[in-house]
Amino acid sequence: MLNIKKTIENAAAIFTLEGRLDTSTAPELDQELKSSLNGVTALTLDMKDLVYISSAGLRVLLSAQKIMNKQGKMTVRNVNETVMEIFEVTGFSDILDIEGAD
Amino acid sequence: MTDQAIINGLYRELLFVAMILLGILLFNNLVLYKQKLKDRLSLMLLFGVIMCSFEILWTFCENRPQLSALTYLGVCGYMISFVSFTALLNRYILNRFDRLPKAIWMNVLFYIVPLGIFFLLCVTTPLTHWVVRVDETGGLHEEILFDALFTPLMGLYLLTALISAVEYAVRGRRKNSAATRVSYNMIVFGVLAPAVYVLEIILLGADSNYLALSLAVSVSLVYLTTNVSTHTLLETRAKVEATESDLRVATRIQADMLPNIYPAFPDRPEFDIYASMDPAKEVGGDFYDFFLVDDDHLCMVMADVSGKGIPAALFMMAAKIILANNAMLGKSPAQILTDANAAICSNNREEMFVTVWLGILELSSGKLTAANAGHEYPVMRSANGQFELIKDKHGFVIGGMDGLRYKEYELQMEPGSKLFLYTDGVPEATDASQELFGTERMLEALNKDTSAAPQDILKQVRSAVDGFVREAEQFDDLTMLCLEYRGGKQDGA
Repeated sequence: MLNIKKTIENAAAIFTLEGRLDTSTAPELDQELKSSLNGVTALTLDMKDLVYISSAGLRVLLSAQKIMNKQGKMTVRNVNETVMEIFEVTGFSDILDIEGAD
Repeated sequence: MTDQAIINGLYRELLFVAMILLGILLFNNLVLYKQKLKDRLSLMLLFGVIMCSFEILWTFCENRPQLSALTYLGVCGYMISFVSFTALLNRYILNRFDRLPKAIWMNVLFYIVPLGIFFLLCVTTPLTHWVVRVDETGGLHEEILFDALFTPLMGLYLLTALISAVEYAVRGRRKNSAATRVSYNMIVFGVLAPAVYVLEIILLGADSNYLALSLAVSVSLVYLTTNVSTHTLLETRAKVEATESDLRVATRIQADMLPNIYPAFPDRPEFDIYASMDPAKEVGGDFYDFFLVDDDHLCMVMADVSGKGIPAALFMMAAKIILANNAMLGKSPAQILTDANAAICSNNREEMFVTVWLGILELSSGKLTAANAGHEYPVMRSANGQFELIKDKHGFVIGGMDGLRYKEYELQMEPGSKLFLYTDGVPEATDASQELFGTERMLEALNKDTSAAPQDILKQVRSAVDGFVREAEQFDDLTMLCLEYRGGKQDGA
């Protein structure tokens, strides 16, 4: 289960993710992101209540990062320990701009 | 109550049942089979329902002078929906045989003009009494245009559909099984409708002067719809079965792509290796690989493609071959990953990626050189110690970003050392309460019997995972590899 809450103001979009981002829920986020990123220059993904992310979820983050590389900036924030570990193991911590991480 | 009144009542009840039946079929078509209302079959059903309801109305109001306005409404609605229905059936059938007139003027001439004129005449008939007339006692009479326009028009549409069906059945046989089936359906329709009508007249003693055709048409329409739906269902099932059997073969092809004959290197006493892959679906995105680059170098790969199922499996095949080809050129692990990443990124519109751990073991010395592209930490056991995670330096996943360079590191394996590789399916195996198996439990399982042979080590982990997840359904592939280094030849192992 994944709950996506999005707020878009001007060119800044904030997506708050809650639940699990895996094979079954990743397409949903992908759709949401692709349909609302037009004209957005600052994308923030709030992962405060995201408990798990699988490789399918990482793929969505990667394609969002690639889109935002062209049109602005993407920030990930409030990453919990489990998800942070996955980011580190997969090398995503090197390419993502993670707020609050060292 | 006269006999005729009883019969009329009975007829209306039958009509009502037919109407409900058509309504259910329409509902099925729209909701269960997800057809659009624009679909001709759905439209025919809709007109069928409307037709029945109007016929119920006029047969009820007839002979009740005070309801003559409603009689007009009922009979006009009935005629309009009936003719629309026949036109639709006609177009549905002709379309199946590619016989629909293509020129616009033909369509105007055969459909729009006659239907337009007929609708106009129907709407104005309460004033003109040209098509039907309701007399002072409420009795309904067919007038000149009923026989001169309604009957021929309806006959024209039905007959052309029937004739083209018969023609196709006779001449076009075996050319297209779907069209042949439709032609048979139409012929049955063409026989069934008059048959039911004749039965109505005989059994119910209905007045044969009335063109009370709704029931006959409804019965035929139920047949037609059921037949079409059933065949669509059968065709879908056949497709699903074909896909399933393709998938079974794909499972075997994928399994055979990975080295799976053990002992893998019976003539090499320096090491023992064992690996297994259990996809969560028929085909998976995980893979392992091991092969001798030359007489002294063993290359081992453990990898996990993003996503699952067929897309991941296809990507996995490409990744495996690219990695192996690069490795066979004698490159270092970091160079292999760097070049494989460049090759995969050059053509990756789906933005898939793969995590890879790749190591090359020098068999004579036990020197292991490895590089990690976003894969899980490897696990190593020194000669007489415990299995421990090696927190190696991670690069980014392969296929994620172009132009990356990977770094490699070295480990020394002593005789008796073991290396355990796995994909995230192991630590992320989940039990019913959503708890993850985790690397702690994995190490615990590995350390239960550190002296066990590679094959038994994998069994130990597998049974620990199974005992942990129990009945909870697993969504990830489970892939593991274990290598035992026994020392170079000169050590006399």
